[in-house]
Formats: sequence, C-alpha cells, structure tokens
Amino acid sequence: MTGIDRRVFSLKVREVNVVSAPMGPDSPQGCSQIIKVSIEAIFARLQSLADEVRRFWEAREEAQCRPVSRDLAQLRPRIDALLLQTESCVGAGVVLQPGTLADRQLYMEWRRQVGEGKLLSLSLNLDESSANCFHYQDKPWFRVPRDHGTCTVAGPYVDLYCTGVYALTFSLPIVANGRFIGVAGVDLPMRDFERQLARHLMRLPQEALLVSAEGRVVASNTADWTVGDLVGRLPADPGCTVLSLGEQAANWSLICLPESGSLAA
Amino acid sequence: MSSPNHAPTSGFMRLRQEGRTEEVVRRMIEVIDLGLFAEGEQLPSESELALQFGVATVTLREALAVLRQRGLIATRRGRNGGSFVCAPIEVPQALLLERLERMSTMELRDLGDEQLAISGTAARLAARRSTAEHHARLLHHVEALGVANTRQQRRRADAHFHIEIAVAAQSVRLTNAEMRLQAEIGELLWIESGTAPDVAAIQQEHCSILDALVAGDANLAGALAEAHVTRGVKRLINLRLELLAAEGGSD
Repeated sequence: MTGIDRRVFSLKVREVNVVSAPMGPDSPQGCSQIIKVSIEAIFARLQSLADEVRRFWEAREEAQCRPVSRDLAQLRPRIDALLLQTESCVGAGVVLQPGTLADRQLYMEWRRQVGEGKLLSLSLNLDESSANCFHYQDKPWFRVPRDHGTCTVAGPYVDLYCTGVYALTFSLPIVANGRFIGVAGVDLPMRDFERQLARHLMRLPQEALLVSAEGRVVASNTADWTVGDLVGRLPADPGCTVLSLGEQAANWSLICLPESGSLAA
Repeated sequence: MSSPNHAPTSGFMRLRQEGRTEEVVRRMIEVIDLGLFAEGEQLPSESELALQFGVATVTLREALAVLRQRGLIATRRGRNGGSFVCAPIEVPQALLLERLERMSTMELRDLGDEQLAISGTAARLAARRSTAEHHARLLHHVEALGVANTRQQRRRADAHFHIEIAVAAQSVRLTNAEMRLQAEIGELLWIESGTAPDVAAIQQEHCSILDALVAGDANLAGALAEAHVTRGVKRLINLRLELLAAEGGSD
C-alpha cells in the first residue's frame, strides 16, 4: 500500500516540479497532490470517451449526415469499458445537448451497473410533453460543462434517478467542430469513494476536510465535519490553510483546520 | 395466544408484512411518479426489470400483474408487444374515502407521528445543508402546486416538494422514508371535501418552509414543517370522523 502511494507521490513531485515544502503524503501539499492525481485520472478516462464521441461526430458531419439516436448505440462497448475500468463506478455515458440529434430532442446513452459486471441502459422519461420529463439541461453536471466549458464534479448529492444512493457525478464537455454537443460523465457512489479519500486524509497530522467547489464536505478526517456538510465561511478563517486542487480537479480544495480544532461546527 | 408471557413481544418480533412483490409495486409507482418512465413508454423486458429491482422473475411478474390490475401499466401481446406505462389515472375519490374510512384514528395519528419525525428532521437538516440549487427546485414545486389543475397534479407537486427537502438534507434514508410516506398518505391528503384542502393555504405553508430554508434557520424550518404535517393529519382525522358519523351506527 505504502509502496504504491510513494510511487504515485514521487512521480507527481517531479511533474509539478516543487522543490521547497516537504511533500510527503502526511503533509497537506502531498495529500492534496495525491487526491488531485486520482481525480485527474478519472477525468482523463472521461476525456478519452469524449474524444471518441467527438471523432465520431466530426466524421458524421464531414459526411454531411446528422447523427440520430440509434447511432449512439455504437458507443455502448466504449462506455461499458469505461464503466468497468473506473473503480467503484456505477454509471457512465454520454448526454446530448437538446436539438443535436436529427430525431430526438433530449437523449442520453447512459449505462448503469445493476449487478456484478451486469450493465443496462438507463431509461429515463425524456418526453418533453410529459409532466414528469427529466429535464437534464438544468442539472449541474450538464449545465457547468455547457456554460463554462470545464470539467465538473456534481455533488455529493442524493441521486434519485440513476444510482439511488449518495453519489458524485464527474462530467466534462464534448465539443465537435467547435460546438458543444453534450457531456460525458460517470457516477461514483460516495460509499466507496469517501473511504479512499478519508484514508488519505487520515495520514495528515491535523484535522482536514476535502471540500467541493460549492463548499460541501466530500471527505474529512474528523467527526466534527462530515460528508454533506456545507463549510460556509470556514475557508476565510485565518486559522485555516486552504489548498486548491485546481481547475483540472473540479476546483475541490483541501482545508486544514487549526491544530486546536476549535472551529468545529 | 398460548402463553401470556410471550404475547407482548410477538408483535415486534414479527417481520414486516410488506412482501417483495408489494415492495416492487411500491417502487414501480414511485419510479413512474418520479418520471423514470414516460407515459406510453415500453417498460424494459421482465428479465431486465427483475435484474434492476434485484428480485426473481416470478416476483416481478406478480408485481406487474398488480400494476396492470391498478391500471398503471397495460400489456400488449404479439410482435411489438410488451408492457407500457399508462397515462396516470386519478384514483377515484370514493376509493380514497373508503381507504381513509378503514384506517383507525390511531393509525392516522401514528402515520402522522412518523411523518413529523421524518419531515421535521429533513427540514432542519436541509436548512443547514441546502444550496441555491435546491431552493430553485423547491420553488419550482411550490409554483407547480399553484398552477396544478387536478388532484393528481397537486398531490404530485406536494410530494415532490417534501421529497426534495429530504434530498436537500443530503440524506438517502430520509429521502427513502419521505418517498414511502408520500406513497402512503399523499393521495389521502388531497381528498376534496367542502373547502378543504385549501390549496392557497398549503402553498403558503410551503413558501414559509422554503423561506426558512433559504434563511438557513434550522429551528424555524423544522417547526414549520412539523406544523404543516400536523395540520394535514388533523384534517384527515376530522374527515375520517365525519365519515364515521355519516355512516351512522351501522356496525
């Protein structure tokens, strides 16, 4: 275990070329670096799916034909592979910008894991004339990549529609010929992901929280702050050290609390 | 009733009555209500659905039979055959009144007690854990209640409002509990009798709860949610008592 972590860590030290501050996994810098690398690895896999969709799309457009929903079925093996390769992933797929396809207004090619290695397509109500239509355009995992062109992590949130559990959705934009055509995403249940993150945080000597861009605790090494809490103005407290994981890690940050732990909620 | 010494514990020791079939039926209804399946949409095959619910195909078939009987799905034979989701039908008011009449005051009060615990706590937690995005969705459900034209639409907007608060509370357990409670009590709460239910008043209560959530006032949000539940249950108990009175001393 330690051996593997050290390898990842030393690799990253060379990459970011940090020469000063001690960067062991038991330092805030080292810890945030390890977490940053694992988040970036998820996005790197998603990007390769997005690239494949882009190539497929551009080839179609070059042939002067507008893709239809049926065409997306070809992506299934690729999506399934991504789902099965991503640790503890329960859902993955591509969700299209309304009006992009020739035959359907809203469409998604989303696969979910229903049993050990058993994958099924998620069927949601995407009929706009229906009162219960699932309008995904408003969901943060769709809206943020569309409006800002960046990758994002939505949640943690109670996912009623796909996983039925407390989960995170990682997503990034798919751009073909300079035009936004949709997002590629994966669902990761917090149950497994928090365990990995908390393990990293436990190596720190001080109390620390991993916080999403919207200020929600994703993992912590103290019971005073738990998953799902909002940190509010805590990052502005002069006693706290805030390390941003950067845009490529969805602007998550590591907040180290003062030694006393007196700021507990 | 063999030994009196054993009688007091036996009730609690007994497993819950809801079997796998009923559970699948209830989940299917919730899932259709949430919009996971569209009206007229063909359901996945029996084996696929069984896999999704994690039940045996036999159990799933039983559940589908119940849903068919209740008019929620229709099955067509032959090529292009399969099960389809029907347009939501309003449960006739007479059936709801019958259901309410069969319940005891105790049962209603106990159901209300549970909802008090769930909705009150969910509102309290949501005041601390909700963001602008949740507030926007809640506002949408408040507005939907105002423009709803049918009993069915009102019930749905009301249920979604309460479920969304549990979602905003970041709790899977509270969300599941609220969904189950809405399935049990939701339709009864919207039975029309006299001037009740007063849609404008209920919408105003939802507004006040939402305001407290936005203000981050946990105690106020909790108290308002509890008062809201209490008023609803009181209305049901009164309505049931009226039904008993109207029936006269027949039994």
